[in-house]
Amino acid sequence: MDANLLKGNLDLILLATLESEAKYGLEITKEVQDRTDGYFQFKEGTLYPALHRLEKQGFIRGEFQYLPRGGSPVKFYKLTDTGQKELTERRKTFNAFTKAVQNILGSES
Amino acid sequence: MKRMTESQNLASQDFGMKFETYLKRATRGIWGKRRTDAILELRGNIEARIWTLEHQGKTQAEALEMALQELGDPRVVRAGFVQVQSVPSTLRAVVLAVMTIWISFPFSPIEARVQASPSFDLFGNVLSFEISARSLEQALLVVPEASTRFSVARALGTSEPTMDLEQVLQALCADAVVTLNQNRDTVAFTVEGRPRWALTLEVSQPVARAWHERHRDDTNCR
Repeated sequence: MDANLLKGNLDLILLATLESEAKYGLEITKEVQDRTDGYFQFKEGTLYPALHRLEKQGFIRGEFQYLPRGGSPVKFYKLTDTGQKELTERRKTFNAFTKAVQNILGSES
Repeated sequence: MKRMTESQNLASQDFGMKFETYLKRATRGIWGKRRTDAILELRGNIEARIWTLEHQGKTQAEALEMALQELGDPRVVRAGFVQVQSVPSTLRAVVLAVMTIWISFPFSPIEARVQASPSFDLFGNVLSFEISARSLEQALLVVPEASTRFSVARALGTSEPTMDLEQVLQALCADAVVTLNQNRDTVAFTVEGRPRWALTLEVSQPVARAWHERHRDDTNCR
C-alpha cells in the first residue's frame, strides 16, 4: 500500500468509518482493516492525531465511556452534523475524482 | 508458594512500570487536561487490546508487549499529539527564540527570566497571553539595563497573534521538560537542564494560589 494514498484520504476513511455508529480507536483500526481485507493498516499512533484534528475541526465529537469489561474508559468518537455534511461533500469529490481516473485508465488499456 | 507470589509481584510491577513509562513518554509535551485526556484515551485502548489478546491465550506480559508494539513508537505518538494540540511552530519558535536570545547574553546584569502578563476573565482565570512579532533588537531595547526581569509581553508587544496560556506551556514543553515551581505565591516554571531558563507569570497571590490548586497533581510536563 502506498502510504501517501492513505495519508491523503485518512480523514475521509475515518469519517466514513464513524458514519454508522460511534467507535473508539481500537474499533476504528479493526474495522478499517476488516473492511479493506487488511489493505489499510495504520498504527493507532497515527490514528489519534487524525481523530483529534477532526475533533478540533468539529467533524467528530469524542466522549469517554466505560466498556462492559470494566477497566479504564475508552474515548468513543461520533460523527457530528457538520461531520456528516463534510463526509457527503468529500465522498462526492472522491467519487468524481476516482471516476475521472478510471476513465483515463480505462481508455489506456 | 512464597517464591511464586514474589515472582508474580515482580512481573506485575514490571507490567505496571512498562505501561506507565509508555504513557508518560507518549504524552510528554502535552499539558494539563489535554494530557490527562490523552493518557486516559491511550490507557483505555491499551487495556482493551490487552483484554482481547489475553482472551486469545497470551500472557499479560505478552499482551502488553504486543499492544504497545501495535500502538507504535511513543515518540511518534507524542509527536502526533503535540502537532495537533500545540501552537503553530512559528509561535513556538518566537517563544523559544526569546529565551535563547536571553540566555545568549551571559554577561548581562539582567537575570535570565522570561515574564508575561496574561489577561484574566471576571473570575480571575487566566485567559490569554499576547505576543506579537516585534524584532528581537527592539525587544531587547525595551529591557531596562538594571532590570532583573524580562517581559515577553512588553518586549514583543501586545497585539496579535494571541497565544493561549496553556499553548505557551505546550510550546515550551514540546522542546523541554518544564516544571511548575512549588511556591504558591507565584506562577513560575523552570526548564529542566537549563537552570537559568524560566517563565514567570505576573499574577496576584490569589490567582497564583488558584492556579496551583488547579494544577496540584500536574506539576510538570515530563
